[in-house]
Amino acid sequence: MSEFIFDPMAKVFCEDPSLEVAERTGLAIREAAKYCNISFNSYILPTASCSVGHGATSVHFSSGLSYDFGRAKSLAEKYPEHKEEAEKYYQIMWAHQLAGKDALRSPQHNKLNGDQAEWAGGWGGHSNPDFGRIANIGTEGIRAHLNECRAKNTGDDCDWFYRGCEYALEALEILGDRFHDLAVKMAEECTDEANKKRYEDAAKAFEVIPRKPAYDFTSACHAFWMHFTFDGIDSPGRFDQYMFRAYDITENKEEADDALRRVWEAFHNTRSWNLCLSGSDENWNDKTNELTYKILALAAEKKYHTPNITLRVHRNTPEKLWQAIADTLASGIGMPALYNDEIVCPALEKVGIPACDSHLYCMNGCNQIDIMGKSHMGLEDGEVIFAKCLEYALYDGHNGLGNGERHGLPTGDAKKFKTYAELENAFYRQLDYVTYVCCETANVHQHQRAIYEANPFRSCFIDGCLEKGVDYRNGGPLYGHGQILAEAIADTGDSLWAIKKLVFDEGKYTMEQLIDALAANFEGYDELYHDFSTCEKFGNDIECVDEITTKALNRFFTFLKRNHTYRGGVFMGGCSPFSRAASYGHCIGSLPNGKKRGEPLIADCIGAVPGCDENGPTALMKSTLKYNHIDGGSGFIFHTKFEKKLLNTPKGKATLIALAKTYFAGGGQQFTATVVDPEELIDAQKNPDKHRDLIVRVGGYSDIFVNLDKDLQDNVIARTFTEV
Amino acid sequence: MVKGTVFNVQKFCLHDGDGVRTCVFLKGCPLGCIWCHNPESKSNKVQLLFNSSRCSLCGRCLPTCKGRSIKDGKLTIDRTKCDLCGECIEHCLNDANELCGKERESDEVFAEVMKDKMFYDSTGGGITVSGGEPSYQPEFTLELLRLAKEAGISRAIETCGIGKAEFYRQAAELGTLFLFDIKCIDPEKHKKLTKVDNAHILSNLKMLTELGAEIIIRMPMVPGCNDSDEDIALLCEFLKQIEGKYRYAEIMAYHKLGVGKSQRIGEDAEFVHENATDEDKLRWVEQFKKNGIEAQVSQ
Repeated sequence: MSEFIFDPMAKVFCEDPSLEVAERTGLAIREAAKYCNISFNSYILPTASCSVGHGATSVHFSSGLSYDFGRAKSLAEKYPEHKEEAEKYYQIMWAHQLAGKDALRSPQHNKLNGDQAEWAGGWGGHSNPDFGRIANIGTEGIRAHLNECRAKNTGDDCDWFYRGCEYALEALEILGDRFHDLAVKMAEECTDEANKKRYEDAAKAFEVIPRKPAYDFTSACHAFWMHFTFDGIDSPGRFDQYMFRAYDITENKEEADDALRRVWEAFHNTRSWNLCLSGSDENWNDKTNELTYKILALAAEKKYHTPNITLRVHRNTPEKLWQAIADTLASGIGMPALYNDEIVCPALEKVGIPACDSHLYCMNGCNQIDIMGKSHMGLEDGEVIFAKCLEYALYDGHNGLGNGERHGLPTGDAKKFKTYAELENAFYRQLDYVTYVCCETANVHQHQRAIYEANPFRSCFIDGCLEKGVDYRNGGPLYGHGQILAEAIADTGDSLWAIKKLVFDEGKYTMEQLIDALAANFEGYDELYHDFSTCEKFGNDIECVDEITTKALNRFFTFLKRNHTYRGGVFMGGCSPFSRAASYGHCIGSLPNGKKRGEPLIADCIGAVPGCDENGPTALMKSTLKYNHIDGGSGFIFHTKFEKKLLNTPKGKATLIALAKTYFAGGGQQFTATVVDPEELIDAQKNPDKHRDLIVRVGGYSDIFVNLDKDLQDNVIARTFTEV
Repeated sequence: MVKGTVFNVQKFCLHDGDGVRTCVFLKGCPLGCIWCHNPESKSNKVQLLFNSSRCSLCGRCLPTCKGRSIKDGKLTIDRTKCDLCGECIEHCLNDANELCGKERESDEVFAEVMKDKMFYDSTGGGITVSGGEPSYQPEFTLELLRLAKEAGISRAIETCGIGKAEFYRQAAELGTLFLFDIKCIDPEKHKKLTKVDNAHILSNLKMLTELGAEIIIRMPMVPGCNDSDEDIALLCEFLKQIEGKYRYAEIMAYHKLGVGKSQRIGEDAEFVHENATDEDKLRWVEQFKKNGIEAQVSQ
């Protein structure tokens, strides 16, 4: 960093507003590389920030280029000599960002979102760029490919896009040079012998990377960590695959293991999301390697809650790996989550992704499926809350919390419904409507982001962008499908069944009585409440209620597929609630399954409503296997919890693995087993300080139990408990 | 098709035979073990269970039953007037009443068991008929075992050994795994603790070993009742006679869950003891070892 330049990223971005956003963003990224804070973290890995200390501008994988207006004000005060400049940037950025945010949201969406019937496109989302590309082919390799592509795309007006990408690659090279100088300096100053050697290795590595491929595992780790942090810390993806070349050519495996341990520590200190292990190729060959086992062992030893480890299994997964999975699960970290290639790959092929690429999938965000280095699958495009749609059907489009306005569709006065089919039809229409608005809103957002939030940096690491000359945000990636998640499926299925049984089949109550009781939050309706709340529930392998529940989800999947994404794909469905899932319960009034107003209960992903699966994990699995997992192509999450003592015995471990295999053989897509002691959870609520290490799986990811809010903690305790 | 009185069908059992199993619990047991932890299974009749801790004294059940009254803030039930009509269950909003046991048909029970077939196939599991005492409903038990054999799933029964020799012979022919209880070897003591003689039980066990049946020995250990050093020495002596003819022997430690259940069927538990301690368990294993028998305490 030679000279002081006030807000260097804004400076280049605002210099020539006539240039395309992608090019200006590329320039800003290059400036960021020159001026951002860099350091070697305590594990001697090169960590780059994606903002500049004396600027209000930053660049991040999810939001693209963004500008902090509050910070801009305080910086203008801090550097009065740059006041004029600051004001200029402020105005340009204001116009730019305002246009990119909020502008085109439909009033329909705002209403539905206000009721928490859906949530859509609120943020830029995750994807899995190929984090191995720098280590494996270097920026020179990428640049050579870029130039080939540019030569083929001369007819298109996309030179500005390629320039943006070139600047992004230059940014990495600039960073590499800065890290080299820093490593030399640190090595000189370092007195600790082991660390001095590590700095020297880093200095040596940065003579080669990022321009040329890494020559051993340590240099590959430096290339990876620099890219990973400068990009903004997302999911590492298939780490054991793209890092294996470097691991394999490393002669000194002790040194390689040291680097791996350092990366693991560093993961733990960042909010890195999903790391995916193993898997099959398109010919079903197993891709497990030495790194796979090393990482599983490290995870069991360290017991960190990040990154979330997922592991792909299939027909040729070796028994040795199954054993390692059992051992890792037995350590109590709730990981790895298992994914079944036999379902996920066909699910992706069903939406047009060929087998050679479907077998490259990995997980991102809260466990949504992505094709590593080839896609932008809209994680997370949106969510639809089934229970709210049922409420709309019961109240003729009004919110069940009784605040007046109609936000759903007018589907008729449910008190006058004469048949169950009428009610079901009303619910489906509400569900279709909410799903449609959700998809539309996601598309509007994606369109805005394509215009205002170009990402030339990721464009270099995701196939399709350079080849087509189209930005990552604008449909460049090979696969641009979208993902809308379904929430509260079982709550809704249980409710529909209770209505069918008690009102239409047995005639014990009328719709009028039910709706009055719901409006009164069941107060004064003790008998009705008892009857409705004790009806058969989803998750117990009982056909009548399972059938209604799966039918509702199939309706959603079918309707969803008719909607196309802005990025040039179709919307896929899935069910992998985020951490906020438990809060939805508060926004839903009382439900016919016995949920009272404000109660946080909401189905645990594709499983039962917490506490409702009374017949153990096999019955729960049988129920969930009635869903069509192949249509849940964006992630279809199944949780089961086991008491710790189950996994203390060889039979227990063998049983757990057998359960997973059986579930997968039966068509299951994903399997998560959390191992906990019930007493431990309850004690952890009372004495959080004693249980800081207690990891549970929430939504799609693992978290520290005591850091969750009370509702979510209760939800974890209540949901499926398997006592053995 | 055979009818039987069943009080529970429990899925995902891991400690009652190989693999993942479904246990079918039959009502009725001729023994009268003083420590019985399933008192609701002793009688072979359907019984009303009343859980007073759930009762809110709302009185909704009173009109349904002549035997019910509320006195001194307590609901009392004159069980001689209860005809097991089940109406109280319909009217109770707190689920305090429950009928224990139901006459069911073998085909229907077996269909429920078969719901988990995919898990039996992958783990070598199957059906375990338990109780109560399966030999007390021999036709029904044998029918379930026959159906299981036809369906190709593993078969097991948990038995106190009191049934007829013919029952065990037939069960063994069906390739059944026997989880066979030995409570005590001293005949006098056995009679005192369980109200029956053990000569017949031990002879059934010997017959099964001679038939080459699959056997796991289970030994309930109740502190102060049947766990003296002498009791264990006698047990070991017996086990040595059938050495190599059973898979293994395991100790079932006493727990007092049965006490609350007694109250629910309107009886007082005749025996209450604290749960077996870790020291008890260590001592047992030690004593067995001293007498030359390896036995583990079951989880």
